Amino acid sequence: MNYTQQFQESMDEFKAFADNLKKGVENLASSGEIKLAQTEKELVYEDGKRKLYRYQARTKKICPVPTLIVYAMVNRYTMLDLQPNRSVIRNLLDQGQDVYLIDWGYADRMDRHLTMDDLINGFMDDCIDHIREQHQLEAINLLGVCQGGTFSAIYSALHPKKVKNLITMVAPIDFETNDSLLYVWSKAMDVDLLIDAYGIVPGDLMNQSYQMLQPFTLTFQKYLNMVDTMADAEKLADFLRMESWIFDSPDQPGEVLRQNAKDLFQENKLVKGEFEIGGQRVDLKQVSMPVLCIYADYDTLVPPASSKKLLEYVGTKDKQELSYPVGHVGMFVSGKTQSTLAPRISEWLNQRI
Amino acid sequence: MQDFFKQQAEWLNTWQEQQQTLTKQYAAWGEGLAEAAPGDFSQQVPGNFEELVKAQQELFEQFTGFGQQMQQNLQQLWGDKLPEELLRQFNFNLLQEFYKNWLGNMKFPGGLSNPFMPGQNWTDPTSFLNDFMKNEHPFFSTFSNFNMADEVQKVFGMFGMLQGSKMPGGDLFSQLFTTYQGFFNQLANTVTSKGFDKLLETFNSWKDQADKYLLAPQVGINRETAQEFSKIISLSLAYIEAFAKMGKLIEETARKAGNRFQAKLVERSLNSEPPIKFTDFCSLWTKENEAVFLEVFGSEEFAKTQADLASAGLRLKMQADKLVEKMIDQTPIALKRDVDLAAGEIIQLKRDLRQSRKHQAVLAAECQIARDAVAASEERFKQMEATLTKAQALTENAEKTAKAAVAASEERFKQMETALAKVQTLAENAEKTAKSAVARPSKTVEAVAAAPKKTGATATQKTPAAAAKKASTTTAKKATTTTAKKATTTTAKKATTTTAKKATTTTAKKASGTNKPSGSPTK
Repeated sequence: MNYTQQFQESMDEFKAFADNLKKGVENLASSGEIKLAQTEKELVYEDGKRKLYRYQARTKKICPVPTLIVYAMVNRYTMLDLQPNRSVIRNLLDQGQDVYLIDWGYADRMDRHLTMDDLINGFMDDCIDHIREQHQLEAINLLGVCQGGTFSAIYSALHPKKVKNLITMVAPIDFETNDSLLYVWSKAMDVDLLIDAYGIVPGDLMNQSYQMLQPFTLTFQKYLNMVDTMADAEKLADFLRMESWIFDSPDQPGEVLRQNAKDLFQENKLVKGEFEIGGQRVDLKQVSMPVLCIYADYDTLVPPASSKKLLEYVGTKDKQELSYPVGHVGMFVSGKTQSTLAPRISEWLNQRI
Repeated sequence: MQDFFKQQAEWLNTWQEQQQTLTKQYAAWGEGLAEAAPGDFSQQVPGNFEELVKAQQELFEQFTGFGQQMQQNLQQLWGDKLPEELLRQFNFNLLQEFYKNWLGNMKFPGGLSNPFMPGQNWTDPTSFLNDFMKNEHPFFSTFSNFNMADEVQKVFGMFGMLQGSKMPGGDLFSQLFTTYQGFFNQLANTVTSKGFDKLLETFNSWKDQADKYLLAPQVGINRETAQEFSKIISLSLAYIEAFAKMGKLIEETARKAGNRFQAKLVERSLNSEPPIKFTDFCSLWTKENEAVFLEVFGSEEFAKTQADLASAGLRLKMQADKLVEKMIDQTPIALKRDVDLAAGEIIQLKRDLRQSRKHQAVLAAECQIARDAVAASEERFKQMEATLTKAQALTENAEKTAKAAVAASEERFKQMETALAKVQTLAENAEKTAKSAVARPSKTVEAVAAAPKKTGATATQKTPAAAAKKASTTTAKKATTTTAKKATTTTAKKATTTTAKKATTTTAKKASGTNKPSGSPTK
């Protein structure tokens, strides 16, 4: 290729780049409000900023045992219902599941002293009691996602009679592994100092850590690639929704983060049987209900080694793992999971009702 | 990471403003004394702090500004090469500059010339990657353009002045720090040419010495405030040290990444696959840089350096917070610690409330059970009342029957008594007759024999033995009748009593049983 050809090719590329950018800017200007989590739901219980929602059924035949989804506190549950064609929740509803969800809300200075005990034995237990009472059931299904999966495993160990089936999705359980940079970094951090200095740890601080997992891709390449797609209004809207979710990180209640970072990330107490909340020791052997452990093969936030170890420690014999060749976020939005994840979860649950 | 540095920069900016305000305040307080004091006292605000913070801020901005710089480079390149029509559609400044620099900096083996810039060859494409570290080092300028010892001296001079003990330049700290004057002048002249290693070595040496004095006990009425300020200076030095270590690590990594990227470019060029397209170039740049950085990020060294930097920053923040809170402690502004205290109380109250609610729910459930039990007991009570009424009726009937039976028995008894009396009379008569017969022996046998058949027949019937037998039978009958009467009366009475007693007992028992359950659920 001679220089003239090179120049021509560069010019063509650049013209396409410029065209995309121009159209993209127009699309940006007309894109309006970015809406996430549009599946219809009803507020059924609340305690301050923490809320329990029930999603509106989308089928006539409904599973008799409802499923409560417990998402992480470090991000928003909206990832599970990003948009109509990328929604784990909608897919579960389409499978006839009766879906409830905990929204932890946005913590503020008033949550400075909130503990894991308050969240798990407090609000989470209240929500589960509420659902049990409404449905006149002894136990319900629990689906914990990411940090919410850790919470759900802890809850199931403490209140096994209230949980019919437990599903954990990309949930960190064993923190011994160094397959994720977050695990390496957190082990070196002076957590007490961080919490004492901030009280409520800014969500952006957490986001910066996530960005450092792929520093060049997430801070540069991603936005360069955006130009290629922004001329397409739909693709741009997809991008903006994801972008909106990524940086929608609530601040973290100090005491919750302190225990999470010290007892779990640094000292790995959960799998050692040394973890305690509210003066109660958490013994994973007490998890006696059926367990389904779902993890992502290419997860850089919660490595598979951390997730699937749950099955080694639980007391139940009815346990199963399910993995997908995707990353952490891909588990909720990738095309590979959209069509099969919810049906497989639903099938597993229905077999155990 | 960019945002992290930006956030740190913003925070430092705030801290800097606070420091300025504070030092200005102190300077104003000492103004009166300064007028009477010899020497130049015109600059009471320690400008070095301003520069120190500004320098760090600029360093952060170099990290954050790198992407921006790339875009600006892109803009400049195309300014004179694109059709005017296209230029009108969009402002290409960013892209022009990047392309201009990118192509202008390309230097492949064999000395390829730059087609867009006649007379110029390709140069090192990684140069712009390291620009942010190699060019314009405001971080170093802190030490080269200003004399830290002078600035520190000013600060401590003021503290000394506030303590009322010494004039500027004459207090203990000023004297101590003056001894470092020459040292710092030397540092300022040499450090920029030696890089991070030399900077760290020299800086650490000074810091260790400085800390001894900064953290030494102080005296005077304002010693507490002075000590807090000394501490914040010491902590800021620790922060600079930690930051420089991180800077060194990042610089080394950036250099490695640049070399790797350059090697890849050469490799692709040799394979006749140079990244002609801008997107190819960027993808390669991202991929190769990220691989090197992630390797370093995964090391224990980086984890420790990052943790040290974070800790140094956090300690500085906490000390700054403490001083700020101390400054506004006497104002009507609520402090963070006040909010934290209130939040702690509220959270505890909410926990207590939740416990109360749970307890209340348990009590409510127990109350419901008790209510249900009471309702059931009332129902049972009603049933028992009905049963009791029936039992009473039955008892009354039984009593009447028994009375009637007794009356009948008594009547029979009377009849039997009458009959008995008759029998007795007959027996007595018979006895008398017999006795009479026994007492008439004078009658001849013949007379006796003559009279006979009729008498004989009578006699046959009324012999004493037969009479005795009859009497005996009558007595027996009487006894039987009496016993029977007695028995009947007793049985009837007993039956009445038993039935009544039974009914009463049952009723009583049932009644007592009715009351019992109503109390027990409450327990």
